[in-house]
Amino acid sequence: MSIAVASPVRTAAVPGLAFALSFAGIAMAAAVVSGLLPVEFSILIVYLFAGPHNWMEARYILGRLPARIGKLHGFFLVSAAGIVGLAATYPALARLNALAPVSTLLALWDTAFLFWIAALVQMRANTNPRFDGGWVWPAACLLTAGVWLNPVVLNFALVYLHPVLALVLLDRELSRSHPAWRFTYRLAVLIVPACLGVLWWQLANEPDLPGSDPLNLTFRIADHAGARLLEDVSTHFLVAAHTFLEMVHYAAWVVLIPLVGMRSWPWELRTIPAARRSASWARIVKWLLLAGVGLVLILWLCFGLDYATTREVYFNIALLHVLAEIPFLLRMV
Amino acid sequence: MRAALAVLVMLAGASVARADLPPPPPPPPPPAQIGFAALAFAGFLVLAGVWLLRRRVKTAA
Repeated sequence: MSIAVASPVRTAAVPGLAFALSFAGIAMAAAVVSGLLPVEFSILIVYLFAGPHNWMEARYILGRLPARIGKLHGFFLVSAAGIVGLAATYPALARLNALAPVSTLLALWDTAFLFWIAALVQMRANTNPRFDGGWVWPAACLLTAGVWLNPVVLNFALVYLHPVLALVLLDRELSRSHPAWRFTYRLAVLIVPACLGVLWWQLANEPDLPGSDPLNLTFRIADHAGARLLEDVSTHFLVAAHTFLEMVHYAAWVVLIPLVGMRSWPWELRTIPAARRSASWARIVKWLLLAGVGLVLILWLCFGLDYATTREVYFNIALLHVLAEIPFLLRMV
Repeated sequence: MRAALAVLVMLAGASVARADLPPPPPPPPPPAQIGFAALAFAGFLVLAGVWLLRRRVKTAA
C-alpha cells in the first residue's frame, strides 16, 4: 500500500516579484507606445528624461565612488583620460576629413576606444577580486579588425547597446542590495528581447516614416537609429526599437536603480563618500549636484526654444556619460 | 536670458551639425584599411595563441 505524501505548499512570496512585474510593465508599455507613435514618443522621452537621467546617474556614481582613490589611482586616471579624450575627439572627426577619410578617422577612434576598454579590463583584472583578463587583448584585436573593415558598425552598436548597459548595472546593483530579487529580475529582463521581437514582427514591413529632408526632425531621429546603415530596414521599426530601448534605459536610471540602490534622498550628502572627507569636499559635491540641477533646467529650456538643435547637441555631448558608465561597470564586476 | 540661450543653442548646433554621427555608410574599405584589418587579425591570432599557451603552462604547473 502506498502512502501519498503531500508536497509542502509553497506559501512564501516570490522574492522581488513586484519589482520584476513593475519592470516588465514599464517595458511592455514602452514597447506599445514606441510602436504606435515612435517619433512623438522619442521626442517626448528625450525632452523629459535626457537631463534628469544624467543627473541621477551622476548622483548614483558619486554615491558609489570611494572617498579616496588610493591604489586605484591608475585605473581612475586611465578612465578619466579615455572619457575626456574620446568624448572630445568624436565630434571633431567629421571636421578632420582634410587629414584622412572620415571612415579612417572613425576606425582610428574605434581602435582607441577598444584598446581603452581592454586596458581598463586588464587593470580591473589585476585588482581584487582578481580574474584572468588575458583574453581581452586578443578580443580587442579581433574587434579592431572588424572596425577597420566597417568603422560605422561599432558606433551603431553603441547606440543600441548603451541602453542595455543600464540593465546590467541594475543587475549588479541588485546583487549588492537585494540578491534574492536577481533571479526574478533576470526572468523579467527577457521581456526586452521579446518586445523587440514583437516590434519587428509588427513593423518590419511597414513603410518608412515620412520625411527625407536631412533638416527634418524625423529624418534625424531615424538617422540616429541607424537608418543610413540599415537602408533595407523600415525606419518605423528602427525608431520604435531605439525609442523603446531608450525608454527602458531612462526608466532604469530615473526610477528602478534609485529605488533599489539609493540609501538616502538624492540631496542628502551623508551617503556620498567624497562629501564625508571634509567640509570643503562636501561643499564641492553640493555645488556639483546643484550645477547638475542647473544644467537639467537649462537643457529643458533649450529643448523648449529649439528642440531639433538641442537634441543634436545633446546626443553629441551624451557620449561622455556613455563612456563614463564603462569603467564604473567594470568596478562593479 | 532666453535670447542668449537661443543664440547659444544655435551656435552649438552649428558647431556639431557637421559632426552629425554616425557618418554615412562608407564605400568598400580602401586597401589601407584592409591592411590594418589584416594586421589586427594577425595580432588577434598571436595574442590568442600566447594567452592559451600561458593558460596551459599555468594549469600544468
